[in-house]
Amino acid sequence: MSELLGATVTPENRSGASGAVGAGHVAQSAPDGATMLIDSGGQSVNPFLMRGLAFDYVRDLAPVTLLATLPLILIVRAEFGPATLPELLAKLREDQAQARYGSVGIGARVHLAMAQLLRQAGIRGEHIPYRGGADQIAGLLRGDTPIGFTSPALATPLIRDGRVKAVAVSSAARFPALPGVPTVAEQGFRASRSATGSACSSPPRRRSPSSRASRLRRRMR
Amino acid sequence: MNQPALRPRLDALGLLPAAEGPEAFARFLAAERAQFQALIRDEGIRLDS
Repeated sequence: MSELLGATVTPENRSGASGAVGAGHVAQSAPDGATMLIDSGGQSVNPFLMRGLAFDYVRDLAPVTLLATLPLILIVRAEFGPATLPELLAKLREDQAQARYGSVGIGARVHLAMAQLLRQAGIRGEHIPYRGGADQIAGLLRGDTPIGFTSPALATPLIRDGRVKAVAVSSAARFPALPGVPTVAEQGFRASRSATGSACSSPPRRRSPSSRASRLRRRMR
Repeated sequence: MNQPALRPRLDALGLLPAAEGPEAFARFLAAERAQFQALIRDEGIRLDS
C-alpha cells in the first residue's frame, strides 16, 4: 500500500473483540483518509452479535474496497465415513447426535457457515467453540467434533495425508488448489460467498470522498 | 491485488484476490449482513451462549 499510495503506511494492530476494537478506533478517527481499517469479516457479523458498541459499523465506516476472499473447506474426519456432502448429510439426518462441529469461536465464519448449512439441511447441530484453528483441528482429529469448516491452509495438508476428507468449499467457484471438491452451491445449498473477506474501510467523509481512499480504490485492482 | 509478486503469498493463505470498488463492496456487505443477521437471529446465536 505504501508503494501504491506513495506514502508511508503504518500497520497498527488493535486486536480484540473479534475485530471490534480496531474497527472502533478507525470509526472514531478523523475522516481524512489517513486511517483505514483492514477487517476480515467483523463488519458483517459483529453488529448482530455485540451489544453496546460505541460506534455504528454502517454509519461510521465507509466501504473502500474488498481485497480478497477466503474460501472455507468443509472437512470430515476420515474415520467418520462420508466422503461427499450428500453422504454426510444423510448420516447426520439419521443420527443428529453426531452433528457435532467445531469452530474457532462463537460467531466466527466457520461457525456460521456450518450453522447455515445444517439449518438448510434441517439438521440440528451441536456447536463446540475452540480457542483457535489448531484446537479445532485437534478436536476434529480426535473425533470429538468430526466435521467442520476450516481454512485452506489448515485443511490442505490434512486432506493430502488422508486424515480428513473434503466434501465442499464455500466459494462461488471451485477452489483452484482443490479442483475435485465441489462447492456448497453446486450441491444445492446456499453459502456465503466469502466466508471470510479481507476488506478495507475508512471513516466516511461528509462532504466529498477522501482522495486517499479514492486513490487506493483505483490502485488496489 | 493481482500483482504477480503478491500471488505466492495469497496462494499460501488460500486467499482469492477480489479487489472491487466501493459500490460493489457496499452491495456485498449489505447482502452478507442481511444473511448473517437472519441466521444469528433464527439460530439464537449469542456471544454468551
